[in-house]
Amino acid sequence: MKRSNHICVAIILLFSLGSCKKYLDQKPDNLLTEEQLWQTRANAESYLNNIYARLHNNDGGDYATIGASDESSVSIGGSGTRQMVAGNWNPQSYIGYNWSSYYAGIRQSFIFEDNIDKVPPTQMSDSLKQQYKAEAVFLRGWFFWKILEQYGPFVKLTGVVSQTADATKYPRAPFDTCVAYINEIMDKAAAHLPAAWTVSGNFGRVTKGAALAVKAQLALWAASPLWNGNPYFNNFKNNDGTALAPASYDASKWTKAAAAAKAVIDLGAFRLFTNVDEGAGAFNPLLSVSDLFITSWNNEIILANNKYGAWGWVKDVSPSPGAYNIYNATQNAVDAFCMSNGRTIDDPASGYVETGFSGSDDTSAWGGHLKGEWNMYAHREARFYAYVQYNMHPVLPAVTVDDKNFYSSGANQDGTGRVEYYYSGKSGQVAANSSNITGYGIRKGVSPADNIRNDVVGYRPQILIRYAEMLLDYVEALNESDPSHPDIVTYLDMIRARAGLPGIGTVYPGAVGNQDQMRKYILRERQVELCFENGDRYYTLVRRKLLGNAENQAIYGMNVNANDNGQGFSFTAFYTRTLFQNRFWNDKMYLFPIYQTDIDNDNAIVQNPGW
Amino acid sequence: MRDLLEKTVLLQRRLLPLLFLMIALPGVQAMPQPEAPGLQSVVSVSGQRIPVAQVLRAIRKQTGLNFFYSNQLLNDKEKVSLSFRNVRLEEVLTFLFKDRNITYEVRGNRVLLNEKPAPAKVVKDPSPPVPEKKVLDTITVRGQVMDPDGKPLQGATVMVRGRTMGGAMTDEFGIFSLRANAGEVLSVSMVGMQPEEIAVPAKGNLKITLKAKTDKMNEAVVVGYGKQRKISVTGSVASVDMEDMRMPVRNLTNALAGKVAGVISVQTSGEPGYDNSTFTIRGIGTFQGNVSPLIIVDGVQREDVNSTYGGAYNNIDPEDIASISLLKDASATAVYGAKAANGVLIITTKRGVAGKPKISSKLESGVSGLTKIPKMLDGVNYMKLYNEAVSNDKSLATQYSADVIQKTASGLDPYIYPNVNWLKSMYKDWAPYYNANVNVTGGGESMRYFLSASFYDQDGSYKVAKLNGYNPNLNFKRYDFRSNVDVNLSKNTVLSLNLDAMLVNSRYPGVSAASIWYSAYATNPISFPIKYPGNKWAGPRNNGGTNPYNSLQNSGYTTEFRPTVQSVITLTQKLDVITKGLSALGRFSFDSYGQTDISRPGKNDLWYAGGRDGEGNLNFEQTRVGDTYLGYSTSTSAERTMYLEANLNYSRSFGDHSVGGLLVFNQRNRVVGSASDVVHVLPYRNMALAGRATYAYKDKYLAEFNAGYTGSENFSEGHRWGFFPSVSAGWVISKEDFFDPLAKTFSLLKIRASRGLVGNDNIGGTDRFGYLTQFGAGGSTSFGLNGNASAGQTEYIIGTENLTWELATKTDIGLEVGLLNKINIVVDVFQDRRKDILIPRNAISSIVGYNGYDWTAGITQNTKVYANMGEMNNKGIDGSVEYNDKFGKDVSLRLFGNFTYARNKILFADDPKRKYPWLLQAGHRYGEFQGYVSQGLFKSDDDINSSPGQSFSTLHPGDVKYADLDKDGTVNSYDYTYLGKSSFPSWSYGAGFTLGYKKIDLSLFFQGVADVSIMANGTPIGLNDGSASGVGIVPFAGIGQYPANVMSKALDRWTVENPRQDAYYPRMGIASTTSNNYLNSTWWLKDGSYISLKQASIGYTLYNAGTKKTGLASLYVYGAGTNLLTFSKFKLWDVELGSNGASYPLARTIVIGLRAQF
Repeated sequence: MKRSNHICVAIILLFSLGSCKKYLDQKPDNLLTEEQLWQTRANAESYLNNIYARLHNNDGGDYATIGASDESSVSIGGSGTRQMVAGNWNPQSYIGYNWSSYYAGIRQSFIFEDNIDKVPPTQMSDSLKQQYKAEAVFLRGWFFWKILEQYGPFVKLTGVVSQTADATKYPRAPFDTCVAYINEIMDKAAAHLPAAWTVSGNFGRVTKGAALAVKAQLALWAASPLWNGNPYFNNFKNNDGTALAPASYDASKWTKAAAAAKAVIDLGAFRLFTNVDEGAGAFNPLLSVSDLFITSWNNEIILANNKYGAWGWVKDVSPSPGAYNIYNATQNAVDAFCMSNGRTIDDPASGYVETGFSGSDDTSAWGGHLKGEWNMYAHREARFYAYVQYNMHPVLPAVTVDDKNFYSSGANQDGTGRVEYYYSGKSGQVAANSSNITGYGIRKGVSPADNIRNDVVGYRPQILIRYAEMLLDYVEALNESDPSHPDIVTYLDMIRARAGLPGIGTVYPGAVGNQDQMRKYILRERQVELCFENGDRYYTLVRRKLLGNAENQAIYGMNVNANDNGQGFSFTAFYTRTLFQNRFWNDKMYLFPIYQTDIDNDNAIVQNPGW
Repeated sequence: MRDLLEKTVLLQRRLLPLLFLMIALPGVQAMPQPEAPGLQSVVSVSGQRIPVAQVLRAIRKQTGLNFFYSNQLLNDKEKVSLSFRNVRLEEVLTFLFKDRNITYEVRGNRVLLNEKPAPAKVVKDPSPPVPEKKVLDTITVRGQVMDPDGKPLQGATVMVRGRTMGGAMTDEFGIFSLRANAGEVLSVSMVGMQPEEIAVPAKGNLKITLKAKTDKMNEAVVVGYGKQRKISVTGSVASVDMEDMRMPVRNLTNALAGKVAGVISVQTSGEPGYDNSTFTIRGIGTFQGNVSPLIIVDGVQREDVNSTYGGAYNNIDPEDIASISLLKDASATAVYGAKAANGVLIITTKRGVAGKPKISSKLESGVSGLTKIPKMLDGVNYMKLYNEAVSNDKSLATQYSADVIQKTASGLDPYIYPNVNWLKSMYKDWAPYYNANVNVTGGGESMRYFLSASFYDQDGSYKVAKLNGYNPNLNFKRYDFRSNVDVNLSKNTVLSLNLDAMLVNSRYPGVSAASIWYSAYATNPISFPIKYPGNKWAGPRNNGGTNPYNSLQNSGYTTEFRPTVQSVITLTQKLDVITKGLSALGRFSFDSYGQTDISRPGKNDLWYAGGRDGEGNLNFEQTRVGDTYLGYSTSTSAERTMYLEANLNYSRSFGDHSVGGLLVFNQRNRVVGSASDVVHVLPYRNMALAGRATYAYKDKYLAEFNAGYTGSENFSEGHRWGFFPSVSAGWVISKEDFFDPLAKTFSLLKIRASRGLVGNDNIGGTDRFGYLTQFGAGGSTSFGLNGNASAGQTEYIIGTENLTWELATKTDIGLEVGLLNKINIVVDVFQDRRKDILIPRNAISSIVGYNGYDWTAGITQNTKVYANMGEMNNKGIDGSVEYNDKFGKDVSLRLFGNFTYARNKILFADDPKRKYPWLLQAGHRYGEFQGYVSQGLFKSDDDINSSPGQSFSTLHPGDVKYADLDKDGTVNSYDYTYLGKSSFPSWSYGAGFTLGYKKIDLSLFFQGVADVSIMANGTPIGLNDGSASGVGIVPFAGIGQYPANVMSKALDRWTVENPRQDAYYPRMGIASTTSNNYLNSTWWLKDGSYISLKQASIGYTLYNAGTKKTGLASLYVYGAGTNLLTFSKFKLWDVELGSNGASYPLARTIVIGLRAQF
């Protein structure tokens, strides 16, 4: 009885154990809360870093870069762009869905701007705060610009929107308002940013140059036919009847576009990269146009995503068996490259030969094709060899002889690693799950120091805007606003010269001063210079309203399906132009559909026309 | 003389004004007749408000008759007033027990009191009194009386039928002897046991086994924090018959399906070790977060939502389990307050019984195989269909030439023209299975123990061999050790200690089962052979898919060991010193879970031969260079839970009034050792105070009040504590007087009802502290020349300040019916109305910037905002029926069946405001399929042109035509509707029987579900690693050179020549899951109902009731099987797998076993 009494007491004690309140009062004390975030420099910076992370990054698959325009196709049937070009998408598809991510970046940029001043001065100087604010503002402008480019008019936000706000009060803003707003943001950012960074530790941060470059892109976008009096958008209106697209054509927009691009040029902070910049004695166009992409932070770069794992890109574009062989260049792209004499291949004077095997190596200073390659690929301009991987041309991201032989079938193992896109080749139809569908791959952005068989890929930033684009923007806008302006030839020739080509006036003097002809050459130059880069080709065709044209929808390649029956490289039927895609087109596709849920959650947002 | 007495005895009833105890003066009134005690004895007894016990004592003194009864049957402290003088005992007893539902029976000098059997209210002497026999008893009969476990029974009465004298009583060894004549019948009886009759043999000894009398209504059932007598339970509580759980299945919950009303469970994989079911009590009540019940093992919560160790309790050997209870309604679960919203499953393990050590053992050995292996196209049909698809598509792609098809068909060169049945090559029919359990129970007054050890061993069904020095086949071994010890520290104090270790040691192939099944579906029969001559394993070139058999055989292996150690120490103290019926309990538990995976990945050389050279030799190219040695990697994780409980229990009867009370305090603390961030490294804490008050009047009118007051660390101060009350009441109609006329038929009629609140604090996923804005790692960027990463931080959760408990209001009305003492029926209707379900907001506009779907990264980085917003309703009915009977001496039969129907409806899910009502989730079921409405197949190009557009892919005749619900002229996302069918069944049922004939018993058990569907379009078949989804279903899906294989069902298709509308497949085409024909739609919505013969067994009792000399008490052999037959309309794969057919099917196991007791 005595013992059991003790036990009683023990049990009663259990009841009174501790204070209930404290037991449950456990907040993650070192968990970052809203207040804490702005108490240290490191935390505040990390918040900005997160916004930077939303800078466009196309490593591993971007609808616009890869496969949606006529320059490339994707070998994977179910991929987003394959669905797009098959017309197999709608507002419910997640294809290229960036809208909400950009708005998340926009909100975060406001949060950052509103709160950065809370960081104690001992942790962060006022000037640094101002710089960071300017960076956040730039990023906000960039996100708005990217929405405008992909989806058209956006919902203009000037501050953080509360989660309880009545979303029906946020309709889309008219296109011109959007453009003005982005310009305003970019001006605000540019005011506190240097033209370019001099201290390498800041590489990757945005600059005034980048802000001006975005304004130039934007101005060209606004001047181009898609948004400059496009009748297709006549009925594109908000629910309250506000027209979202400019009703009529405004020629002065071209003038503004030219001026905006010129502003970047006049900044004097950028120039076209050549291999001489790297200390080489002699100019080499092939090295210039290829090393541009693998030389970190050269002076041509205006804006780049500094955290770029190039591995995904190299892996996707390079041939099998080392790589995925997913992104395939098209015959349409190949045909755009000039001959090394600067003439287009449809020019009888170009010396272009479509058939037969070439008898000798290219003897020009910078090299080019090799003996035994198909004549179609002989004596082309340097950019062709720098950017396109074609059948029988040696694989680029392979270092040793063994690495190169890895890409060759038994009989072809001669240490050169010639790529086998033919039917029974290592990248051909017989190759398991890694077959090329056009007969071409991509070499742009790939370094000979990469070894993709072993997944070794060096660091390089992913260039988002470079100086060459500004030159092309400038000449294109100038040709529309003032076709006789001498700057057109001057700046276009700068690009050609860097590619080792004679000036346009030398090759095609008739085009000088001829607006229509010159437009053709400028767009072709752009197609070649900016091929496979950030969807420039896609967006050029979109803003020029050319994407729906039949010649941009009929996609050709080599005849990869013809069985070579073991003939390998000597199999000539491979080199037959073959139509492999007749893409689906509807004019609604000039804009991406707004995701259905985003409309359903905000009844003020109207869907894009046609969707 | 007796006749005379009968006539002369007068019944005299007089109420004495004084409290005058005549019996205080025994001997004066009594006329003892010691030679012939019996009902005819004349007694005198009278008194006012004297306890029954005193009356019985007086009778004993007068007649020498001893009364035997259980306290549950007769409350002998109840006071009565009576006055009999010199009347027959029978009359006194009749008066005494008239209203007490008690019968009596005289055996020798004993009077046995039993509950009144309904059909025979008035018990008559089985045979009319006969004059004393004059015949001489010729032989001496000896025998031993034992219980079913072989334990001798002392004090059993043995009588010759028809006689009132000359009986015998068994001694401490259960042995009796008496004199009787051959051919006479002995009846053997004992209090609490079922009487037996046996003929007197000419010679030899008798062995008689008495079975315990089971009175279902007085059985104790396990309820929250205690036990209650079944009759007094007012909540909805169901117990599982542990006999039914004896099946060769590793997993406890898988074995529960269909065994008890209220369970709906879905098992979608049979992979040993990863075959846990989605187990629910009464279906799904919430659409966010956890749907599983709370699992209580030996009084302690033993399961955690979102824990990596989920389902560890499934490893408890059913042999060690004494009882399983399901608490289904609010009344039963309220004391668990939080976490009980989905019901409670209480598992209680066996405890020691005093006595000499008693050993029980079970040995089981058998084979297990797969229920169903899907049939895929063979090489020739594959190529023919491919060609058909290409031409249907009007595609330019190359077709297989007649030459290639012919060569493949001939099978003459299986290396260049292979034709591989991958599935058949990879799976064998039968794999070995072993299971053994041995347990010992025993002890004495001061200590009792139950010790158990068991071993479970199951091989996988992969057809692999030990080729490279290791065996890649799946193997699952489990070792369970249990020690449950009770020590009486004092007369009123019991200390109990449970130690339980469940140790799993398993091995898996180097690639996951999902990946193996996927590639077996994906790899077509003609791409490459398994192996080339010269032990060269075939494999495609880089990124070209896989040789599934090779990855199974040559990818190394992974071992896992998962130790689970659970301990509970409990101290129970009777506190009768304070007040009678009070007891207290203190309990502490420490559980530890761990898992260590050791991966030894391997890679072998692979070869591919695309053709032959001039001399006919294969042209080999090496497509992969293997590793010489297996690689190595390891990962470990662990967590622990501590639990502390104290409770006070009160139970007492005052006359007709029984009251009970319970007060519980507990707190729980769980730490995840492998947490990756500060939010998850903090202990998970709960604290609760709960109480219960019960009242019963004469076991007829019952009422109960339960409440839980629970705190959760998941909410902010002020919103942290939730109060969850519930009330319930019951009425046992069959105990009413007016019910007497029906009492013959209805042995029990009880109705009960309950209503109450239950809570949930889990915000779904692994998120915690939804009231706090939380930051965590976000996207990173980099600055500087070399691209070194600069980490970013982002908001994970935007805090919602007033976040609090999710509430479930549960209502239950139950009816319990007993018929003829043979049939028991229980039916409950229920409703579970959830409000304030903790959901992440869905309808916040994207422009606010919380949605961060990052397409380029392919990931959704949503910033979540939680709110108490969701609403759902779940209602249904469940019921069970059981029938027990015995036909003659040899045949016994038990039939049982149960069903559960639960249908839920989402009422509010914070969904975006959709344009059309059919797009809204609200109003639909959880897990309801969405899709297009099929209108059959397009008949012609004209049909296509005149129908609303469908821009999913280029249309051809034979493609699926969808309904344009919004009539806007095109079929698009606005026509994507809810299809009314769910992946989760709303009906679950089980039925079975056990038939015993002499020493043989046979049992069969069927289980099924209904109103469940399968979306058989292949969408869920994918590895999420960039590989194509839909392989095996969608014709020629794939991302590379070798289009994926298709099920042979594809032959049943629409063709140009035979454009059938009733074909299973639409026209063949090179398709993907986003193609027109393979979108979610009613075309692919198949009925997933099934009935399965889950369990069958046949047993034979070889030996029973042995003597002490051999030591063997019983020996029983049996054969049993699981998943033997399945009946379903869906035939392509094991219907239980649901929509993803590319998974490890359920196991079909056939065993023979032996049970022995010593």
